[in-house]
Amino acid sequence: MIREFLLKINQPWLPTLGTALFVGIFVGMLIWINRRGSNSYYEEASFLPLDEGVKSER
Amino acid sequence: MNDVKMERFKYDDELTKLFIFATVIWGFVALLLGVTVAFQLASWKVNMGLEWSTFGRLRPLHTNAAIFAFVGNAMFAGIYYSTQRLTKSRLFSDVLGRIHFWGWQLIIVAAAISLPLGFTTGKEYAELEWPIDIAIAVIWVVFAINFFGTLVKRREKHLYVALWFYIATIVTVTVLHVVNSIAFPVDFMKSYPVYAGIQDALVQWWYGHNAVAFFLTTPFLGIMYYFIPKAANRPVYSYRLSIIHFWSLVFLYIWAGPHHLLYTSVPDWVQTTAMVFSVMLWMPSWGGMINGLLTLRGAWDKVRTDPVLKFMATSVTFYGMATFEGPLLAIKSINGMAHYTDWIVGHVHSGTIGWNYMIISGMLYYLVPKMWNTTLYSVKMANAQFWLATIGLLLYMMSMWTAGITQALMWRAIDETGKLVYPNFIETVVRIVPMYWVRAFGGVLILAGFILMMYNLWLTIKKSKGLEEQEYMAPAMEKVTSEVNQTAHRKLEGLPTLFTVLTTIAILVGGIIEITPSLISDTFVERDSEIKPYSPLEIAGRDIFIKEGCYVCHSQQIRPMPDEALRYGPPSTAAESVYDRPFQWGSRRIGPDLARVGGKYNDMWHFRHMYDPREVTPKSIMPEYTWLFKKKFEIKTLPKKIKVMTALGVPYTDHQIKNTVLLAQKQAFEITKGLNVDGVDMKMQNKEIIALIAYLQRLGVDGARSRELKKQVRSEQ
Repeated sequence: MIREFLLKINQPWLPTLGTALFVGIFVGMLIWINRRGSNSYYEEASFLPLDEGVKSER
Repeated sequence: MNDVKMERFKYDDELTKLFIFATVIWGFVALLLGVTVAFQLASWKVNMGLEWSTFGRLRPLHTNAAIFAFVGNAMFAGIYYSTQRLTKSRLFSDVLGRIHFWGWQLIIVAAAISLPLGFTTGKEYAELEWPIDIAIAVIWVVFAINFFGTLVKRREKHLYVALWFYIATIVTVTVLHVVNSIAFPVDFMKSYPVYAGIQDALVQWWYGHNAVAFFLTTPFLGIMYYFIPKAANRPVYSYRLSIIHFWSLVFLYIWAGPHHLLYTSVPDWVQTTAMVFSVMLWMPSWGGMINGLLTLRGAWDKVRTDPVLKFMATSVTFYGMATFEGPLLAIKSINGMAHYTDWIVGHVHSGTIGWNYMIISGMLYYLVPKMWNTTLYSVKMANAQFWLATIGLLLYMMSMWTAGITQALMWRAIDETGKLVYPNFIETVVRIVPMYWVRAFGGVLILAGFILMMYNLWLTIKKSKGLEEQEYMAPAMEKVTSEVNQTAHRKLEGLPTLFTVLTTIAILVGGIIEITPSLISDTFVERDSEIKPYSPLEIAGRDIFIKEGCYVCHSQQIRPMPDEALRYGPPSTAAESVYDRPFQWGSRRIGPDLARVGGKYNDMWHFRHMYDPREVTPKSIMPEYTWLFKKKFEIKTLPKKIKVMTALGVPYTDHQIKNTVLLAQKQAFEITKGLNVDGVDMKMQNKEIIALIAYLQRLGVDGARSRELKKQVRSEQ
């Protein structure tokens, strides 16, 4: 049954599904990253490489 | 207000230093090999007449050295350095770090010995034989444990974007390496892949393209996201853009592999999908480039004076150019012209030199003075290297564009009577040889720049007064966070396991959709009863063809184009390569396609051609293969080879399985007897050249017989 199903996968609608999937994820991501109140968090995250811990004087 | 508990810790920078040394040493070796093979194409005499130093054997060594030794070691140096700082934690295990380092160097040494000796799987960028493949898998797992272990004991809850790219690299390279390397061993250094023909082609180029994506690109995007803000002392331009960049890139990249197989016998829908997704890749690639370059806003004055930023800004610019050219070349009509030409070679080097070499140089100029607690010995020397590398690369790319477009146009030229304007392939090679000299000169400049950097870094280390291991402090990470209003992505980034699972799903979707049907479904390959398995002697000859790396210059895939039909014959079909393990479609035609070379010339032509190519093809740039006339072909392992092939599903008869040696000797006797008429000694019958002739004379013969039979049936109807 699995084989029968996989045999039918050879269809041109697959790329369309893949594209639709990507567009869906992409649009979702755009909405998500622009949520209200996320500005301060992204601002903070963008500074992470500049902080590598405090050098101990000991 | 709660008291913040501060923890003291030290970073393991000694491991990073080890990888830095390895990067510099292997970088020199890789570039030296690159310059050598470039000169070999400009003048065949540079092949030096030795079997270990021909273009066919050194070119895979060059690509492996560049990708896995030079770029690989640099990647580990950058990842280990930045991961510790981004997690504010020492590496999970010092011991695993050393096992990783020495294990990786041993693998490189094994490759450096085995490839010139001719031990190869014949699959581009995956040439190493099965014991080395297993070693790679083991060492990669050691690396993964050390990396994820460090994430587990981190003191910074948030996983910065660079770490996401490292996660994607580790996960995807594991999947690619394991799936593409599955093979049946014949002996200690010989194996046959479980895939054949178009299945092998699809798996190989899914691997090959994504090796570029997830070994040469994603780890260095992580390095870019760490080192550019660090060197410019500016935060990343847009963290939002980095999220879009990451998820779009890892989702899309994996689909693009089959664009290496456009116009081949791979199903059309797979080709079109790869083309569409390659074009879509423009978006995240340029998003990343823009994010990298705009991080330098307000620091452009430093780019002029600081070698670190100069190299990094240039590398990101070349990344943008290469990721513009890549999708362009994946468009079918453009690919029809560019594929099999030097245009592709130029494109690859605009990425590896422009992106990888430049960003690695910038990273080394940042790391060495910092880790040895000193300043760079000479900024002037670094600037000189920058200009040598930039001018060398421009010479390289421009000569390869010119060579590629010139040769493609010459191949395609058809006159008003419908005949090829340049029917003799060698005419198209001779025309581009001057470009090969320009390319080699460009390579010398790049190598000279690298030597200058080695000297500069060495003097920098020498003038260092040393540094005691520095201790750092950071707050301990609370197990349960009480932060409110976390965004969903922030929660996700705090959960490395879930993040890794989602990344894995993102990279698997494309691969599963494009490849799984071909692995399971017989509907992809129309069976043709006239296509028979290779005879035992032909198998021996095929293995010699693979050992000598003939596939790096000769394709075996005729595309459905008028000029190719005129020059080589009817287009290749999927059925014709069902017994090809590995497939040998190639990626470049430095010499002509061989898919239908069987019967085109007589045995004596091949005999003379392999001994001295210029005797039958004046001005040929092919090396002489004189050792094929002295070495005996392997007959002892033939029965085992046939048994392995049978186990893989090749329909050999009981007679063939039981009488493998006898059948091989009989066919070798017949070929030598034919050559004997022209004075060849019968003692030659056990030599490698005879087996190779048997293989070459078989290519395309079954396909021709099948077409002839179908024609007869049609005419009878």
